[in-house]
Amino acid sequence: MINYITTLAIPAIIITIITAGIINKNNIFELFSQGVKEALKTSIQIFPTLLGIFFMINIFMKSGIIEDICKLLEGPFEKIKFPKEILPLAIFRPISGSGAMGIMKNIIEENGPDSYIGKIAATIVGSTETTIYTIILYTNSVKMRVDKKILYIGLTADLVAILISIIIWKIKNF
Amino acid sequence: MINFIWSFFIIISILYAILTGRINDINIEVIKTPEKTIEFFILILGTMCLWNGIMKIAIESKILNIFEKILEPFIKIIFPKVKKESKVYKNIVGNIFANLLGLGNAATILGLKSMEEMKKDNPKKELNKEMSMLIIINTASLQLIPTTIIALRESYGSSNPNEIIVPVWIVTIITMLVAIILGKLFIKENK
Repeated sequence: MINYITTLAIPAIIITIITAGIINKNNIFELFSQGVKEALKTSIQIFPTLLGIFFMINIFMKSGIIEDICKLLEGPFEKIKFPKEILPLAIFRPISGSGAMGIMKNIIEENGPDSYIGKIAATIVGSTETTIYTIILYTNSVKMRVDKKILYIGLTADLVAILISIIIWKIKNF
Repeated sequence: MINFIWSFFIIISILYAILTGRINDINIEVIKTPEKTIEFFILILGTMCLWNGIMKIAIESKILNIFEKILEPFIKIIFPKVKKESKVYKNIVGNIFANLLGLGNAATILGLKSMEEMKKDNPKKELNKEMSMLIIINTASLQLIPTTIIALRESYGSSNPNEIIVPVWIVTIITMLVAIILGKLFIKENK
């Protein structure tokens, strides 16, 4: 049932929007072109930020810092029953979307999609965003000064998401 | 903040890589990154354009009106100063709508447009509370159906790929509430 809804969602949205445009007697193709033009302009504007962020993130990922931090933290985290497989995902998630996706794939491959760890990983990735990337993208687009609290709030929200994902599957497993 | 994060991450990473003998990996990454970024950019560019075009029709065709009515009380709480019927308001509704549908790239364009519009009403050099709140709700994921992840679970042979939907909803709602409450409490009004 849900599979059916998911596959039908996008076509249904397109049809509804276009029909509404016709009913409202809008010049739909003109609006569409305008939207595309706007998106093109904005995308070109964000390209410098994009390259800057990717440059920073890729170098950071290859430096090995995260792997080493995870190794250090594995022990203490296991003591508080925090699944150690989730640790790299938790650290990567706010920094790199493709990085987190890669780690999630590995976790699912090694533990199976229906394993406890595999489900936690999928829930975390499904319910969080690439916080640091989003903040830099949005603030840099307007070139204004930012309250650092935004970063702390975003990261706190991510931490909450990770903990609740673990708790939910812990409860469901019993 | 950006200057600090950017320089901090790059310098620390390079120094750490030198100390631990991973400097070759960094060199390869410096060469590969521009190429990878262009690849990613081209990949999202088309999607962004297509969906922003479709969203433009939606925004101008009152189709979001019902959705707007449902969202109204929430928008009033999160963005008390954004006037209804304004361009910013419409773009914020569009941003939330696109996020819910999982059209993240279209949502980004609408979000950035809203930021631009809000900047026009803000003579200060700092983000105002509304702008901060928009960033905060966009750092929390709003997606209704996590299609990519369901598809991935299916491809790895999950017996019930959709099993994660309800947990994802629970986590998303709680996280969103936490983010909004923290934002309301700690982000200062910029006078």
